[in-house]
Amino acid sequence: MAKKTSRKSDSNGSKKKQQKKRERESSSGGVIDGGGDHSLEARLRTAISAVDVADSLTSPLTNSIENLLQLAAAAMGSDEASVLVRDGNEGGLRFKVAIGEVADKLMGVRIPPGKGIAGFVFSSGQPMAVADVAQEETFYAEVDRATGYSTQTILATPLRVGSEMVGVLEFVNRLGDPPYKPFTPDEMDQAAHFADAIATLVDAHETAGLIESLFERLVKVAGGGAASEGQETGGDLRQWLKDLRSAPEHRDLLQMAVSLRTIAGRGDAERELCRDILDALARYTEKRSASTTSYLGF
Amino acid sequence: MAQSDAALNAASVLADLWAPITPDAVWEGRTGRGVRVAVVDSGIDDKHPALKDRIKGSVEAVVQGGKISFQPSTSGDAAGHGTACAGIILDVAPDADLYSVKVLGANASGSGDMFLAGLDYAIKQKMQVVNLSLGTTKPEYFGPLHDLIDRAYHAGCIVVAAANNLPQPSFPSIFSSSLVSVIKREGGNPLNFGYRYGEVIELVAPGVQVRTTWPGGGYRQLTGNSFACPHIVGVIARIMEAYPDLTPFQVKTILYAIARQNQEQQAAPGG
Repeated sequence: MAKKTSRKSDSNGSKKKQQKKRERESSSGGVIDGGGDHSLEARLRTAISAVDVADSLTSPLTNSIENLLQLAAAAMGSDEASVLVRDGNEGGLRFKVAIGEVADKLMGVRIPPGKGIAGFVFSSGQPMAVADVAQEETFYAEVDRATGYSTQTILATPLRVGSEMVGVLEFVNRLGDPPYKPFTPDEMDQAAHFADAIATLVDAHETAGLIESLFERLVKVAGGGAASEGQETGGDLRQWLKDLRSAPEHRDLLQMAVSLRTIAGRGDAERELCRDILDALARYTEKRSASTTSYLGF
Repeated sequence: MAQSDAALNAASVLADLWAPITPDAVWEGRTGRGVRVAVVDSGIDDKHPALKDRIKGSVEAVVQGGKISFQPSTSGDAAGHGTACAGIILDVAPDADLYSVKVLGANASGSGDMFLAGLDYAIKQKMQVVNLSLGTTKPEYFGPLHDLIDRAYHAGCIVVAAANNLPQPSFPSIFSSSLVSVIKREGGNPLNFGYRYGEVIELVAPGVQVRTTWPGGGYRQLTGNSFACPHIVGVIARIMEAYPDLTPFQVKTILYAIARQNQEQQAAPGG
């Protein structure tokens, strides 16, 4: 009996797998030829599986950033630590990961371009430490107002990947009771090492986030059956890319990919022309980059 | 042995060469009076009691039709950095003519283009000394910044830049030509600066827990290379008051000579 049930279960499972396969095929077929099964169930399944994939990319990275931040805060003897990432393309920032008493309140708080210590560090690339040892007034007014926390000493250092700024790492106040000892130059150097490691994770997180929104977008296009309208889909993607709040270099790359697809899709001659131009450009920039790199290496 | 003698001779010749250049000779009784100094930064809070009526002019970058221009600024300083630098400069050179060129903040978003435009504006306004605590690591700005620093040299404008103490080279602080670059160290006396001959970043000045002005009327203790930079700007303003026509290389020679004496005094027993 058990065996029979098992077989039945296998059979059911197999049918389900086949059905899923059909749904996947119809879904991807929708992108190419506009046909396929666009039932609500099929679209929901695809959307859910896409979101699962995206979460599996971003969640471990968020956890790693948080773990590293915990380690960094302990090493620095700091009470609160946070990672701010770029928000839009105008120099704004938002809190991405935070630890400490007011961590929850910080999440989602936005800092306009060039504002506050974090804004300056992000815009200038200069790490700095500020101490209000006399406790004259709260100097980090806007964020403190949002959280009810009193910032008295702060160290902020840029998060950078290559030549690109991706955010700011901040340590606020010390463990124990005030008055808090100001952060030292040695701690500033130490923070820069933590910043290097965290910046790489932040960059990876940003890329994973991009893949997540790209996935959602593709699912939407597939589900909406807009694929057969090739030009419109391209235009739609362009609008999405334009509105994208993300790294300019990532957005540029995606925009280039969309342009390339549009031109190359016009025929063999256009595709070959694209390839020749890109090959020539690659050779030219290879020489140019080599000379720049040799100077930067100095 | 012969080589060692030669090295000793060279050292004594150098000592003779720099000997006439002393702090007394170049800035005794000087306060930077009449020297035009620009702070290209986040603006200056000119309502701060210590800065009130001491800022000669404030402009900020605005973008109109894709072009960056400069208009009178009334938005103060939302980041605090420019106000902090202004306080340090006026501590060292209290009578310098200080101007604010805001390239970070509400309208000035702090892009690399704005930063370059701010420096360009300061050169065109015939500033004699420019405090530049900003920098960029983006290779595309290397060439344009190099051109600007050369133009500053030809215009007799001395640009003082803060180093970034991060692994990536930051422009323009790594330019070793006509620019004065500064890194922080502990110690409070702004005139007791050092020189790191042969290093990319040549000057060392106080930049650890420096007490200075902060927006809203108060004071803060600040640490960073960008607070070492304005100390040297103040020193140069004093020198330029005494000798307004000095070229950037002459100013660097003077800074080197004085830093050398500072270091010798510290190395001497009881120094």
